Amino acid sequence: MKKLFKEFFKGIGSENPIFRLVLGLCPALAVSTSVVNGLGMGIAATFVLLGSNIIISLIRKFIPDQIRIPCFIVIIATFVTIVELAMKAYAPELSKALGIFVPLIVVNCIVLGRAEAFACKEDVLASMLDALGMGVGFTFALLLISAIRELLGNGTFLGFLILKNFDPILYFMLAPGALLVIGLLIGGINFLSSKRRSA
Amino acid sequence: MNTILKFAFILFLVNLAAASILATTYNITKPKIEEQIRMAQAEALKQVMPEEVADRIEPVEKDGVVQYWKAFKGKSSQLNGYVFIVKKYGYSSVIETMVGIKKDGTVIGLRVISQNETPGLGVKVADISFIKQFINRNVSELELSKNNINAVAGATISSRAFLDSVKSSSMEMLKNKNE
Amino acid sequence: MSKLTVSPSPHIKSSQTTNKIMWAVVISLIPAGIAGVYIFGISSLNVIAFSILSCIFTEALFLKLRNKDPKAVLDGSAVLTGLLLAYNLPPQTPFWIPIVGGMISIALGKQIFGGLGQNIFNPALVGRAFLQISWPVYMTAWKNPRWWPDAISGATPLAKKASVHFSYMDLFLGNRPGSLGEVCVIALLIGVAFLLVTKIISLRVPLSYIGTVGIITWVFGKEGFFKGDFIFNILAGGIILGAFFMATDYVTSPLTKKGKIVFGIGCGVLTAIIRLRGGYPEGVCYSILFMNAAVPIIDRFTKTKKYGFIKK
Repeated sequence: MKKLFKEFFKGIGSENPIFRLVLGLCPALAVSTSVVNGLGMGIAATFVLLGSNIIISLIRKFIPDQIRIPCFIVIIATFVTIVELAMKAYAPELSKALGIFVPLIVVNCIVLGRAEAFACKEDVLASMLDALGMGVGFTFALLLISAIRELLGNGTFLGFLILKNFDPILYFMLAPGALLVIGLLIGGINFLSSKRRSA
Repeated sequence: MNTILKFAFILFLVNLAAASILATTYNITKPKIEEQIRMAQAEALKQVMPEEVADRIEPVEKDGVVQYWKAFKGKSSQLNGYVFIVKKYGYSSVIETMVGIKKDGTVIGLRVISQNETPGLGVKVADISFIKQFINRNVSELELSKNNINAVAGATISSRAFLDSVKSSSMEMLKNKNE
Repeated sequence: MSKLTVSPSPHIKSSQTTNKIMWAVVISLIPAGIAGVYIFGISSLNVIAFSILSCIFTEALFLKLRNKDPKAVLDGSAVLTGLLLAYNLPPQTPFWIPIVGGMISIALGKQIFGGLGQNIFNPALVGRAFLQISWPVYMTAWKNPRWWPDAISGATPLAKKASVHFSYMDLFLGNRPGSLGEVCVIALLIGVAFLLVTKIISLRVPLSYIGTVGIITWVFGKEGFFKGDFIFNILAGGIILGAFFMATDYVTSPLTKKGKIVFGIGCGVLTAIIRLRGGYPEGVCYSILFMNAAVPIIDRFTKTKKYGFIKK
């Protein structure tokens, strides 16, 4: 039981995909311009991660090593396409805002990374919790980044105007702003954890 | 040889499963997606051609593709205006705009359908504050200048592309149709 | 981590210290500042003051946070950064523009890399690039010289649709809209003369930079093939300020003689391309920043050979 908890929480904290593993930066940079986009991308990626991890863990014994990568890719791509179609049908605005980055979840390193590093070795329950933890960690990181960017770059939070009489800092809306925010957050987290370790 | 056949068979099974799942999803979502697209288009049409001006909008097709829309008012077959889509490269992307004009060239409504201009600058061509300057003006008199259409501050290129695309295509449309 | 200087041998001892160099560059920039304030009016003095104060304050804050000697605030480098930043801003901005710019310059441009001597990019230009991206509207609201009838102008001479014609004399004396410190070429050249006499800068970077821009704008200028107005392109815009005072920054330019020339040519090519083909009217800031990033590579490939060293 304790081990399962660990599998879940490591994705949020010690092995956070963005801040610790530095994986999946492409969507993190591109769609984190608003909290809604960040949340949408986070949930979409979590769903794909969960689906692919469960299926891969289920069939891990039947898939020979030599052809595991093509099998993983097909499974992941299937889930991504399901997400894309569902989004187009039920959340067209979000689908328009996320644009190309939904289909690009296929090549998100986190998904294939977890399949390769975890799901193809562990049982279903552990893989499921691993996927949930990674997905929640990814979503949490995206929320943090997009909240900072939306607030500074647009003066809003979830679309509501928060900072009045404020000239939005466009820098944070553009790609360099995303790099800066992620860099400073990673730096800050490393600083805090190194301090805790030495204390 | 045997292993290759085995691998091929496993891959085939995986792909078969994936394909059938996708086919099912596609069929479930297809009507819904089409409806969403239709709704989005109907809403856009209504916005650029409100009911007061025209309550019946009919597509004009050529080889199965919608070229533009004709707008009619009331039961009479009196043609009142046109709706069409224009595209032009702005500063960093193609700005796609839906234009609704009366037969005499008065702009009824504009709606930017898609663009990817610079956030905070060029994107403001899609803002209501910029677009409302065009409403109820004759296309032929539109120009970027202090007393006419004020460009979005810091985004003259996007503003000019937007205005040019609306103006030139409207003029051409009216010239062809009113003859 | 060794604390050895990494310039190629032979070494010669000199009485120059970092402090002296920094303050000398500050002094050399004063004439251009006076000219700018004279041309655009006393309100542009606010821009300079806010920018310098913001830089000094941010520097002091970081020195305290990092437990460094607080006296280092007055080594001249923060003042110089503030001054250069102000010279790159429009002469009239909201008061917080130079303040934010100063904070970004020192915090993100310099201290986050480890302070003086560690920064990859020219701090003042980092600040200015941040401001340019963040508030393009304020950063392009140029003010006309105070004796012109219109107070606010939309365009510098380099803008692609500039309607006013400028004579070379206008450009040379600074009778034009533009950044606070870049407009008066003659005042800048007085400062350059001082730096050359005191041997603080060499002509390698500036001459290769300006020469490259001149040649490219002459060959490919908008007036036609081999007919471009290169004198206009050198005098208008920020090349004189950029080439002599910012591209020559000790920390962020190459160490070797050959490297300096490569660096200058690189800056020149980029500036000319941005001006002739880019979306911005002026490219000095971005080209110097861009070449700053290439400095380690330039240094590696232009290392001087050791005496008596035989290549196998």
